[in-house]
Amino acid sequence: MDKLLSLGIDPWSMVIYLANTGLLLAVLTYLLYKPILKFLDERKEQIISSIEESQRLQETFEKKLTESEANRQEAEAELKEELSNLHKFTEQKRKELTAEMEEARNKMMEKAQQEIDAKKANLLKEAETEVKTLMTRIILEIVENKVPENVIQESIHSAWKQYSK
Amino acid sequence: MNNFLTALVQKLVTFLNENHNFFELKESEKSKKLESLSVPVQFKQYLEKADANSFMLDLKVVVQFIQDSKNAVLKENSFFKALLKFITEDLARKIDHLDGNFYLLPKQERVEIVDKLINADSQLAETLKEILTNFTYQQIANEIQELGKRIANTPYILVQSPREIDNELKKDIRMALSKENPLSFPTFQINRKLIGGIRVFQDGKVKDHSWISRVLRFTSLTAN
Repeated sequence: MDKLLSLGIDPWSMVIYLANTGLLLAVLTYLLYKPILKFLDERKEQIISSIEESQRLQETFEKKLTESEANRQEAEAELKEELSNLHKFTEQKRKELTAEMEEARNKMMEKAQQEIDAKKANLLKEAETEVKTLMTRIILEIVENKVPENVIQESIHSAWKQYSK
Repeated sequence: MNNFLTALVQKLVTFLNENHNFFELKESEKSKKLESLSVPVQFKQYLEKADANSFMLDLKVVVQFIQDSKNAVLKENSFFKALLKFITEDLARKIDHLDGNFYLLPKQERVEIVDKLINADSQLAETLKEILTNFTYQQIANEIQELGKRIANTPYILVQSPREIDNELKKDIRMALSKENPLSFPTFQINRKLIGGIRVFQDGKVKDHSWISRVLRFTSLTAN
């Protein structure tokens, strides 16, 4: 003990100090450490449950995501099919309409051509009639007024020969 | 025509009165007797073939015709056939000698021409001269054609030419057409529009050998 005193260490102070420290530790433990530890435990549990919750949520989310992905793909496939059908339908309709238009166009052109041909034939006929009339007048003018009488008499004889063959 | 028939019947009856037994004679004897009768040969041929009964019946029709020409039934009557034969053969030739200008001449000139054409003085000849002098070609032709239709259903034949046809050709035409259509009387008509050639109408059908038809045919063909 003297040695400790020589060193400046009071054993009773040490004991008081130790009792003090112990008391402090006990008080702290009771008032601080336990609540803190309890709090920390609670907090830890909370965090763990949160983590678990979040993991669960993540799993759910991932599951949902997978489901929605599948739905999306299914919908996409359906949409593609619909689009394809629509495309075929519109293509068919387009072809039909094109064919109808082509037919209508051909009919119109045919009708127009017929009208043109008819007009042309009419014009030709009119021109033909005019030419015929003019030719007849010219020939008659020559034949009626310029042919000698003896030629006419001969024509009567030769016409009779032709008749009586 | 009635005057001619009257004169003809008178002559025939006079002859038969002088030859009571004429219809009982043989044909060769009939021919000899008929030499003294101055009527056209066609009537002599008729008398050669006829008998008393048929002659009387024919005479009855002639009288009916003279009294009421429209209602007398002449179809296939032998006497009228002989008349038609005379008209379409002998008389037609005389008519053909008269050109288109004849009917424009004064009556005196017409009489002189016809006197030269029918060189006989009998009553029969006088009636024929009267017909040729007093009626136009168209009137005579129409009368003959109507008679022909009633007696033998002869076709209507018209020959058109641009100018007057000469007598020789008229004769040939008449002979040829009469061969095809016995007892018919082809009528000649001038149609200057034909320009040349001839056109023959026969009972609604036309055979056109005129120049105008050729011109029109030519212009139709060339226009096509």
